Amino acid sequence: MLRASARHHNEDINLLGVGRPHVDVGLPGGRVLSALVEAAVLRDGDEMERARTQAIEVLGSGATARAVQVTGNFEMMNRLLDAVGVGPPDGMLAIGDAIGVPLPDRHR
Amino acid sequence: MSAIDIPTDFTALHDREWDRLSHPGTWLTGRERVAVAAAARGEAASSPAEEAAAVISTAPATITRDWFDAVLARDLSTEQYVEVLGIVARLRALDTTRFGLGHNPRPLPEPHDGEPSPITTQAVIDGSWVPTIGVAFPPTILSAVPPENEAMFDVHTTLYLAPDGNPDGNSMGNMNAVREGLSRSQMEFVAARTSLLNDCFF
Repeated sequence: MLRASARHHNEDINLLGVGRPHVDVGLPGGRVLSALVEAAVLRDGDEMERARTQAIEVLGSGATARAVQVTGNFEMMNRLLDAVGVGPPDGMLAIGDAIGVPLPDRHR
Repeated sequence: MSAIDIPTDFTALHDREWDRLSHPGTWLTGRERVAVAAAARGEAASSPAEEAAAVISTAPATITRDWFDAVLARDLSTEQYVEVLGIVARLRALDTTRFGLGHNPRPLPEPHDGEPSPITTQAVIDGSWVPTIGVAFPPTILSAVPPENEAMFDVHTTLYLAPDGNPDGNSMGNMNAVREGLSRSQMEFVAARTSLLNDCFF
């Protein structure tokens, strides 16, 4: 969906930024969003405070709150998929290469 | 301290979810549902449903077909598993959101008495380990237990976008959707990064 959205908006993004936090994905606030998501998913309290402060500075509190809520939503969706054995469609198996992270063996 | 005030629509969603959680469900009592949520948060598990909840919550990427079969061999029906999954997945969404906003988890509700209200559907195995109405993909995974699927839609719509093809408004079909200044591409980046950190590659 990220790739589809970027194409729709003619945005020049680097998908490696999904898998490699030091790579700039090319979206406004990409780095602070990456840090915000990582702290939330890993439940890192100290980093969460730091990442949220930076995100508010760059994106504002409303967008930061929305980013946190989207993170929460995908915490839900990831569990739904993994708990019933639904992996990526065949046509998406190359996504691992695109984001710079090999697919786990269970999806190959 | 940089905590963000909890958005009003999130509080309303949380109220709805706590109401759902505390009442008897489709295959589990209110007491069983709240116990499942407690196990998902780390309390000691004392039933197959609670043990499943703990794994789904904390280590979903480790779940295998063998683990799933073993869980269901221990006096837990497929429909009960789907109900557990719905409860745990939504709880994770709400807890992660509160954590990210800078707030402690909301205490679990007191369970209400009463018996479950079983619903039998035409769901069949079609691309996943559990039966679904239609091919298994995100909007149908919980469809064998309709109230759980409806609750998932509620969370999905409030936190992200409605899971439908509507080209307008806050729907997944609207590629121009913007919420509180966060663009659709930024939302999708957040989604992709979250999934990667969870080792989920759908």
